[in-house]
Amino acid sequence: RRSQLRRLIILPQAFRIILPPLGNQYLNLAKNTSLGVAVAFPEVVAVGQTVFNQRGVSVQIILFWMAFYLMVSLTISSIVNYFNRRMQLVER
Amino acid sequence: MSITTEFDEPEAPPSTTLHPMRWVKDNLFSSWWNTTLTFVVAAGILGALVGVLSFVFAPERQWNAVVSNIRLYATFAYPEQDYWRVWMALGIVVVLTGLSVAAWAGRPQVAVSKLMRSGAAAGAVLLVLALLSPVSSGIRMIGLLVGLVLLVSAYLAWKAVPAGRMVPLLGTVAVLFASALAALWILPTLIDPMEIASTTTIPLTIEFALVIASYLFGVWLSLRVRLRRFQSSLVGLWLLSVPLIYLVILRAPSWEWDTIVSEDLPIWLAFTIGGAILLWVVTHPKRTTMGGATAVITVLAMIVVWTPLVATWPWLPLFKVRIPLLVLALWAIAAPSFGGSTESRRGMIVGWIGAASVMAFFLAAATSGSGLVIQTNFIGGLLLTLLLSVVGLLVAFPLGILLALGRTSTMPIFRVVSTAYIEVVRGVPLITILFFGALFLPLFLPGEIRIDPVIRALVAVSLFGAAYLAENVRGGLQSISKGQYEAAKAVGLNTVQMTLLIVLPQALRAVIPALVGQAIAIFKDTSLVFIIGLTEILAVAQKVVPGQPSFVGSQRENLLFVAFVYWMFTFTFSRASQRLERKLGVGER
Repeated sequence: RRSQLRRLIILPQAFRIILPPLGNQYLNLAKNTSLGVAVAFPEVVAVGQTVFNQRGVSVQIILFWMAFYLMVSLTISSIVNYFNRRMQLVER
Repeated sequence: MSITTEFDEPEAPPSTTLHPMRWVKDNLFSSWWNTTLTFVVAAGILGALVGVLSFVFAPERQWNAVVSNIRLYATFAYPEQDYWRVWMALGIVVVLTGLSVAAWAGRPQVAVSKLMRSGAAAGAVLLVLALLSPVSSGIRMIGLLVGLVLLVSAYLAWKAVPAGRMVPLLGTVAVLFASALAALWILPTLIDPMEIASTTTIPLTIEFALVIASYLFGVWLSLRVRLRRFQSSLVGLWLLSVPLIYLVILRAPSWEWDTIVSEDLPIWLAFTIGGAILLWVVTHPKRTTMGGATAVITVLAMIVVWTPLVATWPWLPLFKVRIPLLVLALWAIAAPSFGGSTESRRGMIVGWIGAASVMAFFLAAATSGSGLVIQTNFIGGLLLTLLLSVVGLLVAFPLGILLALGRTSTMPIFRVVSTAYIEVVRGVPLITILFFGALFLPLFLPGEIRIDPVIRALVAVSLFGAAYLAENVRGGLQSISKGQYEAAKAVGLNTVQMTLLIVLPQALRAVIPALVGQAIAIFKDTSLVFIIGLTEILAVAQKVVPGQPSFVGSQRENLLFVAFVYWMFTFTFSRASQRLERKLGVGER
């Protein structure tokens, strides 16, 4: 019962502090999936590389990559920011 | 009534130093749960250690693949007949390091007891390794003997030397390096199959002598010259050495004298003289309208020259005109805040002449062809990794600070542009920005300018690092209280002075751990440039060395070696940052 109480008090306060760096870690994880191209895993960057090696449309592919990763990053950070705002202290 | 005039002997205060046995008893074996946990974890660690050692020392390991390819790891494809240039570049770095240590390090001391403790620890580690690794019994005997000797001698020296005795730290480091160098000379004669070429040992010895000589010269110089001036001129020398090493020494430009006389000299004269006159007019203490108009005209000229329509004029060598014009425009905008007295105006003009000459020299070097046997991609291996990380960090730091200042500024246009840049670059992985640099950059520049793949990677790494560093600096900026700004304004500082002298030192000092962490991340992220075709140290380990016919299948040894090299650099970096933090007093009130 005492440990339960401790969890109910400690965790909310800890979450308030930890949420922005946690969001940062999620973003890093999402962007680090692009490293799969180094081990020949067919993710977005590898597939795009194949396409522009075959077709020569480098400009469009790069713009597509940037748009894709930007969309993913902005979605994740807006979700994290929503929870962040809910957890924030009401400042005077 | 008797008054006692004798008192009992006062007891000695309880000892504050912790006996190691007591620490073990208190922390590892204090309760049943702790004791079980200690045994389980110790068994796990021992098992892991034995596993790693049996992997490393197994007889079928091809460590030859690493040892015979050290030159490939260091400078991949640099042509053999020009290798003296690499040594010269290293010599410049080494001399500057010696001078910097003399200028900044003071006289650090280390306690002899601490040295003896490290020696005893090294001996104990050697003993454990010799006991656990599956090597031949001859080598095991040698390892045990050396470990035991080290342990016993360190313990005896620890007991013999009085408690507070200190020795100079730099001297100890120098002695250690000297003994490593001596081992490099002596070992090939002792161990039969090992061979170290004299083309490696002789230059290394010369470089070591250069470090010692430049440190002593720096100490001599620091007694004669004012310390601040010495330190700031050293910073300037370090900054100059970077393009000097890359553009002039390593790239070996082939100077085409007719181009130089017909193009570079007139441009240099025009910029030097024209720029000096411009700055004289602009920094007039009364801020005349003519001064303001000249500055505006310069900025407009710069914008016009950078647009594509000027690119169609065939007689204007664009690259050599655009960059000095950009720097002149920036200088002209910033000059009024620093001008005023005749002395500062003269200093500004002298500074501009120096900057314009240096720029003209480096631009001439950059746009002439390379005199090496290989024209492009002549840098690889560890040289490329260090070049990319050092230059990338050098460019990213000021850019990041500017971006952070822009993001927290009150002027909407700076804020919008900075925020957009930071959010876009941070939302995209580094690989995408590398491809962006590799494929887009040639499209932005006029056709006949050859941009080295290395420069494209540099631009990408710098842009990426600047955005991340900007966020860290912004955190530091937000930690400064409003009172500092108000006090600075009350004393009468203008915005530039307030930022440079009050805000930035406090902000940067507060976020040193985060900045160093980001710098370490940038150093490790340079390994991604193999995707755009550059061969840095990881690509050498993964593709080049296992591709050699005598070393097929040696990926694991090479990767372990590269991991060890990376660990060496990042560990040194983080220890240096800890010393810097302690020196600056970060985290204390």
